Amino acid sequence: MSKLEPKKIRLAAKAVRDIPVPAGPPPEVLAATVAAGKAFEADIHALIVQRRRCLMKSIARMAAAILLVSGLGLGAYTLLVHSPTVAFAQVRDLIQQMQTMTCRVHLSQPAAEGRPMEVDIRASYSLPYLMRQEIAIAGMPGTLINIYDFQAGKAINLNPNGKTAVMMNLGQLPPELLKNTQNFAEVMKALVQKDAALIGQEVIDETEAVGFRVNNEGVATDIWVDAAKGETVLLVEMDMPGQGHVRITDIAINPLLDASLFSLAVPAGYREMPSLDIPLENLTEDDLVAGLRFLAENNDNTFPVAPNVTSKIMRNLGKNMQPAAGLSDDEVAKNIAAGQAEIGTRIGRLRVFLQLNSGTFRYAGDGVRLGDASAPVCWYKPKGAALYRVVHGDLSVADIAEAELPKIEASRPPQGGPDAQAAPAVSISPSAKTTGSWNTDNNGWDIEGATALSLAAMIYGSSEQRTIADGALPQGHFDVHVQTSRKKESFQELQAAAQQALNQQLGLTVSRARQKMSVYLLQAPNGKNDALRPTTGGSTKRCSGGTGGQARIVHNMSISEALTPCLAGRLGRPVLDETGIKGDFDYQLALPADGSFAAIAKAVRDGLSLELVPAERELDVLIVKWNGQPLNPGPANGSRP
Amino acid sequence: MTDWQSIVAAHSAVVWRTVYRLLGNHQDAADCFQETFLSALGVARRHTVRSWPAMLSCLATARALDRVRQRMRDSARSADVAELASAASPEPGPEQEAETAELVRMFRELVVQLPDRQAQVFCLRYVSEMSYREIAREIGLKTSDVGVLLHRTHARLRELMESAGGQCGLEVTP
Repeated sequence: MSKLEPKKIRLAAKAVRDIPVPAGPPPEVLAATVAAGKAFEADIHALIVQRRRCLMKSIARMAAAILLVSGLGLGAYTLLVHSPTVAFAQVRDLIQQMQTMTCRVHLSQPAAEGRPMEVDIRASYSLPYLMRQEIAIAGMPGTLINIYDFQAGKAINLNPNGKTAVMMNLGQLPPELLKNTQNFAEVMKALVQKDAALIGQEVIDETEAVGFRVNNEGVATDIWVDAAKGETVLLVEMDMPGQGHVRITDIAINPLLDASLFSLAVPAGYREMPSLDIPLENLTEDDLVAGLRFLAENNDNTFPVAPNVTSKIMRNLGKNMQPAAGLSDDEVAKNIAAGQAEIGTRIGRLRVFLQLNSGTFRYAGDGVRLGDASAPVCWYKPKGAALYRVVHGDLSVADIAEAELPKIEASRPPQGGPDAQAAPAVSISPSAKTTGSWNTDNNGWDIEGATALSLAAMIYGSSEQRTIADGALPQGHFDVHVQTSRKKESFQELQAAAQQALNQQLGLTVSRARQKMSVYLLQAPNGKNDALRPTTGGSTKRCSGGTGGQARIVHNMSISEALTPCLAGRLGRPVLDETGIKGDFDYQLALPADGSFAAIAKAVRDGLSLELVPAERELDVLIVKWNGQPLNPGPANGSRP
Repeated sequence: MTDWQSIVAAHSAVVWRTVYRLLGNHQDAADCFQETFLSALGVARRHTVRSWPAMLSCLATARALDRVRQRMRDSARSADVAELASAASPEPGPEQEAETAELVRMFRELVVQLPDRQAQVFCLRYVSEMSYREIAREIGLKTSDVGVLLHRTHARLRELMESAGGQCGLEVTP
């Protein structure tokens, strides 16, 4: 194990490995498993037929999304070009000589369809013009291959599953863009001069790696290179606001690549479908405006966090492109092709326009409503122009002097990005689970299988024992996912977003009150206690076990910190500490499997010489009321209007 | 057609051992045992199975972790005293027994706070003692990715331990 690993974890894993395993499974379980397996196999043919039908629908729906993913891949490619991937002198020479590159790009979209959408792209580049992407989307069958020849202005989309090929006509790329791609190494060379912050060392691929973070246009990029020589880029990770996480691995610079990888010829056995025209030439400001309008209209009439296809926009586009009932396969294919062409054109032209103006372009549209004439969405300075052009929320465009930009900057709403106020997305949905769990990680909260009452208690920071339903509450169990693109969202921000969603999606109103209720009092009959040993060593607080019949082992904790919450959970009522015993203690308490008051009270008496006494007391409680609305599932943003 | 009965017979021991270690009680382990094999049947329909023990270990670990998560908040009603006994080493003294039980509980509490993939890989490595290569093949990662994932898992566990230690939880050993 790693030298950094806590010793306790190593011991804990060993303890789990050493658990004596009784003989098993029992014969009846074995027999039931065999029987269930045989029944499953008997039904499998019916399942296969049903699944094929579902897959056909999924493939049709995802066809549009796949093109967008391709766009995202292009976005990632652009970011790679524009990020100082190799802001290290050791790798600069290598990059300058780069002619080919392969890598694996993993995109994790945080909120697509309420679940993470995982996209895996195996990318190959032959500079300056050729790019190949093999795209796999988690949960979808097979892969999809896109091959681009930017010089020819053409691309081909291959679907190995359906053996179909679609040619895409991109037109002649703008000369400035071609110039950039031709001078790819020069662009990289310039970019490695940017500042990067050292973020530490890790072992990656069994290699000591050193990491650097670069913040570039709202995108935080971590670049890991081998620490010894800096000759290998091991890992690149990007947090793209609203678009998820990008992880680039398996990076090979200057590998030998077969020319056939970039062939635009339709492979043998493939059926050529009608081609798509996605012209990326003759770009004007109208393309910027049209692209922004397209994004806002597919983002609930609000400009997205970044001028690109976010997961929310992808979800909305997917919904809009679902084939209508009653259409023939040909009609469905024709509609999807038309949709693909429109999306590809709008987004493709927008992205290329932005790339061509990346030197002066600033985006400020996050959260701006479509039609808001007072709020700036973005600004840029056209080549050779004296004035900047500012696009507002109503998509009007005005000239502005450079000296006026600070005013515009000051009028921007809070922006997205790793360190800004991106509101967490919250979704509440019915749960198939009947026991609650609450997991937290850097991406937010996952609450599963909770009742409405326990949800209110958790989200408002109370206990179920102090939470009271005022009338009927929604029946059943619920999953709540609070998701953030930021790594360090504060607890309060996540809590506020979840509280708002509880009201908007589930119709719950929670208020605080003071109310008389049944409780148990924990008392020390003699005013002292020998079973509670004052802590003698170490300042670390510890407690473990004790909630399921196991010994509760407590170190350096007061009664109200460790004992009363545990007893309240077991007894289903608040437990108040009236022992009068102050201080931090070490003790063990074996709680019985029998959850009755009598059994628990006896255990507490025998183990700790303390008494549990039923009583009534006036307490601060949460009152939960339901307005009767059905669950309105789906993501809701917490704080942004 | 898969010879289902033979597969269950041949690999029941490894699945049972995996789920029991993570769950620590008979009933949950039995349920999870069945779920694992039925999941395996579904997987075998879609993919060629290169190693039944490795694939079943992966599935068993994932199912068992799901179940541990489920019951974590409801553990007051689901666990029992026998769990403590079963978690102890063969002939422990009272202190050793309590310490072992604490370690096992700590392991479960921490591991279920990890993201799914990290928890699964961590258990496969350190409970099932699978090699990086075996884990990578079954999970669909590169061997190097397994190393990265484990390294990050260690860091995350350290954070969790520090966090728990500061509030109400566990001692952090530097």
